[in-house]
Amino acid sequence: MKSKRDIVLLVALLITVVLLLLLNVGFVGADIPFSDVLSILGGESSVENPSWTYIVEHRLLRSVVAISAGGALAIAGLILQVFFRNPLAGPGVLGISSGASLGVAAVIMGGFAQQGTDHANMTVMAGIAGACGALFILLFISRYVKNQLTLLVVGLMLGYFVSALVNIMFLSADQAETREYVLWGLGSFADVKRTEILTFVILMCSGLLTSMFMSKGLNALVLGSDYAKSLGINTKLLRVGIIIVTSVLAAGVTVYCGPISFIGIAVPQLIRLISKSSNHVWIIPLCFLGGGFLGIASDVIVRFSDNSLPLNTVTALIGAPIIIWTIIKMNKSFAGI
Amino acid sequence: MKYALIFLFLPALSCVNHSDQHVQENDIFLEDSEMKSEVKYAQGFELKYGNGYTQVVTKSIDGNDSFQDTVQLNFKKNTTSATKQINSSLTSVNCQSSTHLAYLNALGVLNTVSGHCGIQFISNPTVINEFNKNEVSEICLNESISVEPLLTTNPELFFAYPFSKEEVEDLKSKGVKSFYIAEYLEKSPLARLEWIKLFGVLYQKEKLASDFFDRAEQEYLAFKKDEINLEQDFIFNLPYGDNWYTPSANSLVVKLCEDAGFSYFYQNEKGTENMLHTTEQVWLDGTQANYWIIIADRPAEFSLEDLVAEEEVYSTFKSVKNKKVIFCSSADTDYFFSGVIEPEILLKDLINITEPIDGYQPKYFRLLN
Repeated sequence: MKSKRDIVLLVALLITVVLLLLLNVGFVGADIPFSDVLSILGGESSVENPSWTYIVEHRLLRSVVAISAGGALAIAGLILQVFFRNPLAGPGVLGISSGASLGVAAVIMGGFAQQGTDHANMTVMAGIAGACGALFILLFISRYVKNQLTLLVVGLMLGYFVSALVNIMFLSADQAETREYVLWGLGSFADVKRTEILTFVILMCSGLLTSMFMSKGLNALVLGSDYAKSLGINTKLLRVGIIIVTSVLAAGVTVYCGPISFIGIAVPQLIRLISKSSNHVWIIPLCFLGGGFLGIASDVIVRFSDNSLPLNTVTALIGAPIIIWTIIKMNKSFAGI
Repeated sequence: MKYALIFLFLPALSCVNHSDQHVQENDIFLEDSEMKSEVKYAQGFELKYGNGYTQVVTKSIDGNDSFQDTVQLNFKKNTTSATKQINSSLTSVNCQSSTHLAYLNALGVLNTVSGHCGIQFISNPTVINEFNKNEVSEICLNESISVEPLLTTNPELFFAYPFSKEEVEDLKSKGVKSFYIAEYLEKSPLARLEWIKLFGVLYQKEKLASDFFDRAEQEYLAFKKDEINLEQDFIFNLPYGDNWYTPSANSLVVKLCEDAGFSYFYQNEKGTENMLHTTEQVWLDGTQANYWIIIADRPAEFSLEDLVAEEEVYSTFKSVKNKKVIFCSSADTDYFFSGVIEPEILLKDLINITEPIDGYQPKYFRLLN
């Protein structure tokens, strides 16, 4: 019965995401007739204005990035919430995104980008290294701190510490560097270049597939590490898998699209609430589509506002109320209401 | 005993300071100049000559954020009750913008700058050398004025921008004599250059300032086009993220381009502030506009190929196809510094693109290859 509900939810989310994609590609922004948009998408190149082809492709690519990035953040949040057994865990809260930001800041403002080296690739590598570093520190501390709330506070402090380091770099950087970093910090799904898009989508989809392979372990981990061990789950391997998957997903999105907040925490909460399922075979794809929905919906809002609203502002406006609602709901549960 | 000596010396030191200040404020007066500067183009400042004093008034233009500021230079004792009075030659000033430095440099009084906002962003070697020599202090942190360093430099006058009015008003209560300089609000390059006369008056270098202005004006007017050519329509600059900020049709830079015969693509859009377009809109417009003028922080050797590598859609722009992209590297040239006081050279550079001038070597603008 639950599976049926999940299938309906999955199909509904899929249809909504596709509709939003069509809206984003065909109707938002500069005025291009929808028939021409369809012709361009169908491979027709002889349209009235030569820039239309590029504009439509650009809209399509940013929509794909929005869906993949939103989905990836939601999965990263879901896995971390299971792992830390805390519904408020997420790449943004636990300092993972901050770690990625530190890597990006080091390349943009810290003078680590050497002349002649590939700036974009270096930023990606540094971002992933920063995110992994932050998560490793958190996991190391988690060996000594068993209370999840305390660990969450440690994650927050780690985030603040990293932000302080970024601020130091910011103050000593030149105008062009600070400008580039500020722009990156506002978040955008439009900054992934055509040459990078394949790498980005592969990265995000491999995260999705790997997390699907971990769904059995995650199902067991919901009931605790000891219970998972008793079911024969290799918890050490699972732990390594979680580190790699969440770091790659969170860092990939952070590096390419900026530090996008709230999607990673809000979507898993919503999906769990709507789905009622505890089977991650369903929850993971649902979260991916839920994150994708929030990602592309945010991009549509950004573009409807003629880009006057930064992406991070829109995700915060949508995500923050969901998180507050979750906290209130948690309090009610604890109070036995 | 040691403490007793310190207590004995403290009042003595204090007395020395006060007597110096007294001398500066009341006994040394400015030398009244026979030269009276005349303002021809600028709308943002006025010079009022009185009996024994000159008042320099700066004010807002059109609907810009309203302000008015006055500094009085006294040649006699206590002539009027103006709030900000200068009784001796300026020896220590602070500047909020590097454009202020351009005027001071032209008048040879850069050595009077004791504090500046954003020293790290200055690229002009003359200014850097002068600043290093004089140990000029940084008075801002992240573009906000830092009160303590500014008070430490104790400037006789602080040249400030009116867009940070609240910060500047707060400084007044701390005893800092600030003076609003809003040359960027002027409507034409010559009007902006004319602000050199204001600095000339403040530094009693009216003749030098007027000569500087007259020479540039003469050359500018000799080259200025009387009519714009609609075939030479242009879009401007590069996007910032997903947005494309384009200057107002009434802006200085657009006026400069129009004086060179170019026609602004967005000339019918109203307003005095920068206009915000989506990148998509400008991508569409770029396929129509014949010219594209770019002033950007790019290396000197920046090429058309580099431009298209930044965004593939640029290859569909008419200006790119016809190799009519006019470029000024703000990293390689002093556009935002000396460009302010060399409008005649900026104009000649632009005209040289459509009507090459024999043997002319452009300083700021060139066609991208």
